[in-house]
Amino acid sequence: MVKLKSNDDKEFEVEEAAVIQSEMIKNMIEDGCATSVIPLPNIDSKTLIKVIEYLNKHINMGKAAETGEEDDLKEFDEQFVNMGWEELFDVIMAANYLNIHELMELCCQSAADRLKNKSVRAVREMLKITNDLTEEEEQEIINDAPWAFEGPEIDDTVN
Amino acid sequence: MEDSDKLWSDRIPPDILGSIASRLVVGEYFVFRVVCKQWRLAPLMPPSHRPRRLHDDLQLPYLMTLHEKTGIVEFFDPVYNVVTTHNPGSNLKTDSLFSMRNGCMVGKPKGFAGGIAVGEDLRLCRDCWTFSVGEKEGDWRKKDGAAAWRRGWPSPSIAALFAGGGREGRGWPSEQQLDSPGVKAGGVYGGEGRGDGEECSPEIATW
Repeated sequence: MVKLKSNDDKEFEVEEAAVIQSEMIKNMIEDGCATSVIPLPNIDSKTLIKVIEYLNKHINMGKAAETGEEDDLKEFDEQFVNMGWEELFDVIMAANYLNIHELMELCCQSAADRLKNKSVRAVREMLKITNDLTEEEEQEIINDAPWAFEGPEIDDTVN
Repeated sequence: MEDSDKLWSDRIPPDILGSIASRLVVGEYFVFRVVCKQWRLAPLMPPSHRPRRLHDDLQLPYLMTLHEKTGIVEFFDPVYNVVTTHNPGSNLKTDSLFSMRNGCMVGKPKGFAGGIAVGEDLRLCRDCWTFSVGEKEGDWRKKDGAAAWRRGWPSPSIAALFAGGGREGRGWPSEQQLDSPGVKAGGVYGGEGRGDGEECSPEIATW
């Protein structure tokens, strides 16, 4: 077992087989740099719990393919990314820091899926982004492909 | 979090934004770039930097933009949102094919108005992406459509750009045609109103 410590000083025990899906921790263990408790100063306990949940579920990914549990894993992934934008941001940053490739892929894909067909206004509102482009800069891009900004498929809702 | 309104603009690392942007297709990517400065500047992840995935073995689409006045051609990969620009220079033949690059054929069918060959009608058709050209909504179907895809990516062995009627179910070559012995890298098909896969007699420039 490997102990991980979040930045709010909570410790979590994780099986080594699960935790080595993190390239960063795998390297630490291989290089003999892993202390009895690995501190993760960039990750809070709420996010770490999510990440560990993912690691534990994906521990036997290779096996899942053999035993036909892929659908189960897919369903888990779908449920897993069912979170708000702020939480998704935290998990992406944690996955990036820990270097968990599959989790990064999953989260980035989820972010992209949520942006599909959204209007610019909706994206800004959902992600709390302030527009800092000048009107000219904005218009320049719109003029490149005006068809991308109009049409019945454009979704202006913020769900 | 007190600065939660900056998470997705200021605090998100550019390469992660780029990874997200690279998963969008065509229209969504234009919207993405208008969101804010950070998003506009997000670097796109070229395919080679991404892990090989199952769908990489499928034919991948390329959209072509031909700038008629300058003769500059842009290849747009709608899967990864990567644009590469090429200038075939004096080899430009204005009414037929003019170049070939990395196994990817580029053609310009007769009657094709030039300009951006990216239409809103990007759809999946026979395991390959096709797209149509249109200057404004509603009239793309009257225009010639064009489709290009590469086989065997990332080591392309054969690719062709097809041009033909934009109507669904008409003019698109079948897999069988693609695999038939008569179809070879360097072959070019198309022409106004034909879309029947008939070969033109273009000149080919390689760079």
